[in-house]
Amino acid sequence: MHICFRASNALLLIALAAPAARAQTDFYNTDRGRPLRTEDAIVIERRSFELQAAPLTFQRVLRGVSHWGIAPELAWGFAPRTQLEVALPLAVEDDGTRPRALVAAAGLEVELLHQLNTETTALPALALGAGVHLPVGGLAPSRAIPSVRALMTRTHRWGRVHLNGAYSPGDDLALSDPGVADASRWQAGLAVDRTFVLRSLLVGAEVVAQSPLVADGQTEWRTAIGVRQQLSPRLAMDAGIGRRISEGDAGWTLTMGAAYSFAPPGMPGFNRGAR
Amino acid sequence: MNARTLAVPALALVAALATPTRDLHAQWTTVYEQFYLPADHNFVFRTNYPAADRLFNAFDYGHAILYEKLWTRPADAKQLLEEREYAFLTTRLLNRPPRLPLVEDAIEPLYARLAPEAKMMFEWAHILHRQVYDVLADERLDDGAKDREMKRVLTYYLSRPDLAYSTKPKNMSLMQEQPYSLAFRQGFPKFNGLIWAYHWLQIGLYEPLVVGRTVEQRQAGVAATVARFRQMLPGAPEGFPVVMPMTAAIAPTFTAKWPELAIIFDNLHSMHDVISDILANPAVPRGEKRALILKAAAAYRDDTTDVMTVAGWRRMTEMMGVHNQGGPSVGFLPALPTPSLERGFVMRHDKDGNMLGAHVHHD
Repeated sequence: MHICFRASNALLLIALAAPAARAQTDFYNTDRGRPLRTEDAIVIERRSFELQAAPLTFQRVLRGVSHWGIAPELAWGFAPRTQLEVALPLAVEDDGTRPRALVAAAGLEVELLHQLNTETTALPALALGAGVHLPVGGLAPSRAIPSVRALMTRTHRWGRVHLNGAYSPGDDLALSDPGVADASRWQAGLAVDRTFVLRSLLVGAEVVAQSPLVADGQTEWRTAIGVRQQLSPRLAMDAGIGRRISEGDAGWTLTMGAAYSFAPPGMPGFNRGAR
Repeated sequence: MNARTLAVPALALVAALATPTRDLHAQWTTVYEQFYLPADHNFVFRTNYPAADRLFNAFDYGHAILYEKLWTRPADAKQLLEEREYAFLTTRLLNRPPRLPLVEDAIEPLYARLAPEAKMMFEWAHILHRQVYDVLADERLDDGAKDREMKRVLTYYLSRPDLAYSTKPKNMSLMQEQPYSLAFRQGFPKFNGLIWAYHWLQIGLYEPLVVGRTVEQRQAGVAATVARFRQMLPGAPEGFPVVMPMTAAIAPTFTAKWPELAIIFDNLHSMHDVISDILANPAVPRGEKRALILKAAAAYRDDTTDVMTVAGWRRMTEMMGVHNQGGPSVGFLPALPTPSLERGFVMRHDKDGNMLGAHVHHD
């Protein structure tokens, strides 16, 4: 956990030290979990960095059982239509069985996302991702969980439709595995969003189905709504609320965060300045 | 429910979201966005000249809504653009322009799907526009540093040959003498005039930033140029330029210092008109509009198609008359200039800027 805190602080310092750059319309380029799980099939701009400094998620799993999470994440558009994401989730779990909530790192997530094409009249935007959730920290899964994702975005006059699918191969996790809550065998999400252009505001809603990464797991259905708003040329904020709609407790989830875009001038591809 | 059960409706949804077409290969595009050059001067213009900066956000809306309506509502585009959108732009949006740059994809979602390559060429050039403003507005830079930064910004812009306009001046025949040409200026005189007025300000604002010797002079000059733009709006299209404003005429000092940038902006504004014509011209079949746009875009990127000499480009610009292009952007008289040409007048020139044949006014 200590290491994770230091890493996230370092990411924040890098971002704040960097001069401003473009990404003035970041709110339109959605990210996984910010605030919806289903994202668009559009990666960040080449040579840009995007820092999700402290995206916060609160989940009320059951009565008396809650789960807090902060997942600092850095994405880098290192090649055309390609980004590398690294996330360091930190979780606070209170299941009522301990005198104090358990605070621990919930793994290290790395994903490569490649946008295959740009949307045209006949074809939606398509993207493919491959990643791994590494067993780092006390609330991380007990083994590395690889995953592959496919994303699609179709734009209409009234808004956009996004379709995401993900699959994780490998053995089932034990029910007692600390990472079981966040792991899924497969996940499919459908989202729609609408942009209020003059307000730099995006409103979206989604339905997600997922099967847990355990033997004989029941498919869980969740729904959520969320907003993203550009606050300044460099900063976009998001907030969302979701709940389970399949059998069982509602499992309410609240999330909010901010994305900061920048590009260090010393990175390859940027010729050096005059001063 | 398992993954296999979900796969069927998911595939059906994918099929529904993709539009069947015979030329899928021509529809597959991999053009991509790129961050703009990070530098200390990023957003300085926004900070030092907020009123002018916000106007550019409104201009982005005007450009985008134009293409979207021309593409999606061809039957009633004239009424929509010349009346409803024009009124919205001039009475509301330009009076209260957005604080932040707008997502053009959300304003022109279906046009963006039609020609994302051309849309990104515009965006890349608009980034250059804004970076040039930032350099010129940065009071921490002396003349030498500004010159070096301008070269650096230009080099970065040209590092994307798939998006960058040529630094060679293009003959106006590319814009005015194609089978689809003039449809927009003839059918949409108010909106066309407004677009030319936008372009007048976009290039015109460089001049007070260059000729002002002190920060006070630059501030006063920018305010005066913005006021001049607003002076054009009442009684449209009478106050608007009657031909496309050329950078060498509207911002001559800027052009003398950085001619390649001036040429790029002229090529950019010229291609704006070309796409307007392709979209507005009912004689162009809808199925051919994308191909024509891409062909024109390639012509504006290459260094060979319909190229003029730089001296010829300057001569042509002079012959067009600055008073027909909206007038100078600094040192102007209180009244708007009186044009000597009819709106939409077409001049023809050879590559050296010599006039060809009789000038034709297309009604």
